Amino acid sequence: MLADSVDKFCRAVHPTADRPRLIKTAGREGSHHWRAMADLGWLLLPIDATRGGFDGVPTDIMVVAEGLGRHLLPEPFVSSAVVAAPLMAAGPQFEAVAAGTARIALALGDGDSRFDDLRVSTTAKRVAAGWQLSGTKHHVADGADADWFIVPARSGDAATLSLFLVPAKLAGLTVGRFRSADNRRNATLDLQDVVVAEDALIDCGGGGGSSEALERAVQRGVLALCAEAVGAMDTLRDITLEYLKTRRQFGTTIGSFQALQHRMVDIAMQCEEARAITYRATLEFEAGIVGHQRMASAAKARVGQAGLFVGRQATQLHGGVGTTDELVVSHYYKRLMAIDLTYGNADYHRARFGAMA
Amino acid sequence: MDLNFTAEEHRFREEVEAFMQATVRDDYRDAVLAGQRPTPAQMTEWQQAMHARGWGAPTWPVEFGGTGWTPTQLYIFEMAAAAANALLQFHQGLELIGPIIFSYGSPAQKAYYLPRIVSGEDWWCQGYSEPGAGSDLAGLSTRAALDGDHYVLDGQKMWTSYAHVATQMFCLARTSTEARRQSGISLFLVDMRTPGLTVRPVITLDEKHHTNEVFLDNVRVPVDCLVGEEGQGWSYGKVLLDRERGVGAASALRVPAQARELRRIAAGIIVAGAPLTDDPAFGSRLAQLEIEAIAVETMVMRLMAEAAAGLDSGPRASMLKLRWSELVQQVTELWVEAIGHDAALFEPLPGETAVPPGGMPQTMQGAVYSRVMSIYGGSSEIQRNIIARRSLGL
Repeated sequence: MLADSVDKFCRAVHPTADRPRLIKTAGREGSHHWRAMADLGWLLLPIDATRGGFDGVPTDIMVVAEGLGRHLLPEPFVSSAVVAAPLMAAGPQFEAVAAGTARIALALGDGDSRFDDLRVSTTAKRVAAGWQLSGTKHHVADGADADWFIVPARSGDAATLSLFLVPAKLAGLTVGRFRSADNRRNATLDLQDVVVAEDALIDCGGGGGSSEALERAVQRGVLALCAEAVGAMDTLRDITLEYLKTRRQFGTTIGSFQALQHRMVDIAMQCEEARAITYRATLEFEAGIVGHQRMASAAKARVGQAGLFVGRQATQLHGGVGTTDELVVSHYYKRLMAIDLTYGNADYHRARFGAMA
Repeated sequence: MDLNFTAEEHRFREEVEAFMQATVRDDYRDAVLAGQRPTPAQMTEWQQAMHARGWGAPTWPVEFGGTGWTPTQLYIFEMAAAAANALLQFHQGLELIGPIIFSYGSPAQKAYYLPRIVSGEDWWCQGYSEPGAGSDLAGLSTRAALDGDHYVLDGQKMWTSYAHVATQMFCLARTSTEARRQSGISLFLVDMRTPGLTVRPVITLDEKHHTNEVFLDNVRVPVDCLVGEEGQGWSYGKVLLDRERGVGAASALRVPAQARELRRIAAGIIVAGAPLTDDPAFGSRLAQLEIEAIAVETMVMRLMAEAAAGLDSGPRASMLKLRWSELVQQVTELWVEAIGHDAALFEPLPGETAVPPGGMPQTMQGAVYSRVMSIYGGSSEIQRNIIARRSLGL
């Protein structure tokens, strides 16, 4: 039922055929979809019931993310609602984010950390007014429209990782706002002695609580992105199959050529494999099975690879028209490229999987 | 395959190297290494510089304004051009229509068009593909009807690269309908200013304007713009088959430099305190591509040696096209992965002035654009068909 609701919504607000045109005007001001998604309750799915959320399980989130991926809806569901919002403490900022009137983004890609999100070199120093933060963040998915950032930083003896809630408008904070190749609105952060208040520190229960919360948040993101990729891959498979059945060359449909049939079969198999490993990793996370973190890496690696294969081969089988900006095929391909690079690419997660053996 | 040159050939190489050093600019180098298409302005400048040096048409006979270089000299030239990251000369005039004109054109066509190609004064685009005729080019349906001293062309062309800057288009059109589809196709030389000709941009996935649709609506072309005989246009393409290896060779020779540049960039990317090239997974993938690039570069050396010896290269030109296009894709895509998060930052949002860490990446544009390389000029699937049929007898 949730799947149908997501599908219906996306079809109505972001019809695939209109995407190349719609995306040109996409932006926070031009989009009412986020508020509509809040009204539908999807933003509360990842939130605990104790804070007014719907206590959605990872498979619920998977269903929504897959539907958004199927239609390539450029809304920050994964980065904001799934990854960042559940990290926030209760309070007015959280209320606004949960209601869809304010947006939150998690600042990753710290300094030279590349994809290792626990390697944080941004520092947090105690000052009279609260905390002083210094560092750089290269990857803030959907961060261009965020009102608040969650900024991981190390304090004290540098052993303690803490999470800080940082408003987008603040002296010393430079937000680089970019359109990404997949038409998302991302950001980079440069924090130069940015001072935030005492209560900007998010209480994650002390000890290694912040690290655990951060890892868990990224894992939610990894799994949701796998689901989004699976949805996107299925659409590409369907569009490409339809093209093979209708495009005529040499007096027949190109789908009658065995070389192309085999390639199409490979695409279909990659879709199946990606879906299977996404289910596995999501179910193990939901059930809290020992090793679910390692399984999430297995899924992200495999889905990343499969997504790139499907994106490239869907483009190839479409020929010239697949390489145009006017046809949605290239948009799906670029989104799949970006998904591979987000929250760690296939190489990173393969190495992480190996290291966790 | 003899890697030794004569003293005279060594002198020639020094001459070419000196020219490259003086002429290749940093912006050419950046475009070549990132796998991007150069801008029309860059390509025009490059052609003019080559022409000024007397090298406007390296592969043409002297009588048509070419250099008359031996295959060995051509090989030396291409190696030096690749080493310097020089642009490829735009091939549609020099390697496609030029050779057809000097092989089959009338004396008047040779006298008028050829010098203008060599000097860079004319820019040619290729009016071949159509919406219904891509890989199956013989399926084209643009018509040309004789009307007094003109042919009247009606139809639509697709993937007409640089039609928006071209001065001339060579265009295949059907002058009669026969059982054998390749018959009844004629080749015309069309001035882009002719009334009835409309160019519509097609933006590619790198969000750039390289290519176009061209609509021909009652376009009147003088009869003396027909090349050779009516209905024989298809057969004139045969003269190009032997030349394909040259175009492929120049592209393939750029790949090792792209891989070297990726290694240089990756060595400067510090991950957790160490260069990315120290990462075992990344290092292994990069080394794999470098090794494949060496193999393909050596295939080029063999091809050129065969050309020098007057031997047929069989299917190796098709193999080269397949392999260099795949390798450019793999190198540029690994480059995207090397840059990681920053590669996705495509452009600052309107009103923003921020520059991404590491500068504005051409990397992503080069990587996504590289997908066209296994499609244009005969897709990888078509190349495999050619190899299977012509060489392996399947």
